[in-house]
Amino acid sequence: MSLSSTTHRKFSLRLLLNRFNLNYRRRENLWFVILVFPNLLLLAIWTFWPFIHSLYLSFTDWNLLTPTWNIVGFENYLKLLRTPLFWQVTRNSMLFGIGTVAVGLPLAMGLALLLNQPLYLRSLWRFIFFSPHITTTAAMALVWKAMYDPDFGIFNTLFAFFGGKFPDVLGDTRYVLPALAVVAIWKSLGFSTVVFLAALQGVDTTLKEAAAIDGANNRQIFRYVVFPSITPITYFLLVIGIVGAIRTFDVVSVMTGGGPANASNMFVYQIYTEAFTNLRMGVASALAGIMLLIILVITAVQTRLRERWVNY
Amino acid sequence: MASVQRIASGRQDTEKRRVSTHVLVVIFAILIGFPFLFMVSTSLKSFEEVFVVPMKLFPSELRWDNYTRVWEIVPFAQFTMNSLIYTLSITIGEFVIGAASGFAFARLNFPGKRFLFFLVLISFMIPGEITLVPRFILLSKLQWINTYPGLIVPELSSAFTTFMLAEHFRSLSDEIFEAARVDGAGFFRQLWQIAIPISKPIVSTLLLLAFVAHWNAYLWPLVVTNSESMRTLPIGIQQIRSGLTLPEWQLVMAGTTIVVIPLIILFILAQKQFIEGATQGALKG
Repeated sequence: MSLSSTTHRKFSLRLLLNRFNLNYRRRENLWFVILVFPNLLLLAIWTFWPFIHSLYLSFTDWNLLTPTWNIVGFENYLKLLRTPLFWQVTRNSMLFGIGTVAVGLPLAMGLALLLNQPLYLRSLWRFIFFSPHITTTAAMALVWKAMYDPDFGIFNTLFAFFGGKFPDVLGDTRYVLPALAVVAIWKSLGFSTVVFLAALQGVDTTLKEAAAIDGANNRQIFRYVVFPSITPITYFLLVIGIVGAIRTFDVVSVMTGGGPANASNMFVYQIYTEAFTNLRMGVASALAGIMLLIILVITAVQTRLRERWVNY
Repeated sequence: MASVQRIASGRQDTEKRRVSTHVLVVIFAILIGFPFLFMVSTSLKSFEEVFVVPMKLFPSELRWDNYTRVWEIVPFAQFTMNSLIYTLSITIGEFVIGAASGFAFARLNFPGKRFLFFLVLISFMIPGEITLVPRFILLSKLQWINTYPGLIVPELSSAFTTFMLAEHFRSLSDEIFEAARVDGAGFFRQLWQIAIPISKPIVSTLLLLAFVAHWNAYLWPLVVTNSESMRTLPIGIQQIRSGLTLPEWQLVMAGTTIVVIPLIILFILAQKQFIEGATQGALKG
């Protein structure tokens, strides 16, 4: 009696579960659509469509004032390649990108090595090093503009102390790009330092100890043990550093407006000027397309290098 | 005896190294922290004192009235309002949308799910500068230029937030969700009453990073807004100089201090989250 009742119950439970499963699958699909739809809709309207539209616009001669436009093929791109200003903008962006990374990354590595040692008040130092990264670029650019002022500010005082005269760096075609690079390095140093520090703390200590037992000195340990194990992070920082520098806008817009004589004009600022001052949407889109191409090439080269050189 | 000497001199060496390490760290901290000191110090000086050479590190008299004057020169209250509306709406919206889709990608089955997730990741590769012009055109067609929806809606989808939350929700143990399901909790309740509450650390990190990113945004609000009444703080403070006849830098510095202070306070309160956010993103990439 009792036996038959349990088999009966088991049987009906399985039926119930099957039914539940069917419903469950359908409910799961429905909920997936409800939860994912807003995100994908926004992406489609505000990222993918504009992206395709931007590529299309780069082949037209449209300016914001006229209602119609013609498809002009590669005309915008060819015209850009023939203008000296385009090459100056490209040169500025590349020099700026390479300069900030070439100075910033070794500096960040050094700071990370310092912070990785036993220190009093370590979190205070880390706080100070990292704070430029989280503060408003457009606001801190104003502060740097004030510090660079030839009539007051800190550099003026320092130069006066040594009996010199601080030049108007932001108004001088020779100094303006390095002056902006200093601000960019100052802004990004803390981020790279903290990332390097995390990578250093992830280095296998047994490897270091083994090297020390084998008689390696500190420099050798760094060169042959620590550095190889943090190369993936170094490549990562290298690429986001250069790409970030190429995408610089705030500092240029606030501190120089691309001047003097376009000596500090860079890609995004020039895209902005073409689009919203000259209203030449076609040219602006072509310039954006070239910038994207450069970013993609840098990223691809990095991926290749990483495959070849990185020791995991 | 010799070995004792060696140990003693070795100890002296490490002692020396520790001192020199500290000296270097302090020098760098002064160099990196100096712009903040300069900003706050200048913001409290009188106009005459700003131009005193050699520069005074600390003002002889604290001029707090600079901070009230800057509110009169430009509509600072309006800028602050706009910044808060813009930043908070996007931070919250981005999180809700990212958490919903991240949860679905991580824990629900759907045909073609991997492709859809791939689309989200691809969007991460498209820099915002590329989409700027077409977005502007779309906004003008919708007559959303210089409006809050125009500022906010296009920014509501964040690939970063979606990706980080999807990765995190995927790492949670299945058992909790099984248990909830047995207790009759639907997917919505699994998300809001289980997945998010047990993910507090990453949730707070993502909210903080989003808040800072949008509080600091410059190019996007510059393109979308064109009247003073719609400007956010980073753009608004650029107008202080143009509102003055003399180069009263102390007022400009008061403005920048007001913009930066909330960030510094947030950073003091949540240093760990900020630094983890930075390193997690990097080590995952």
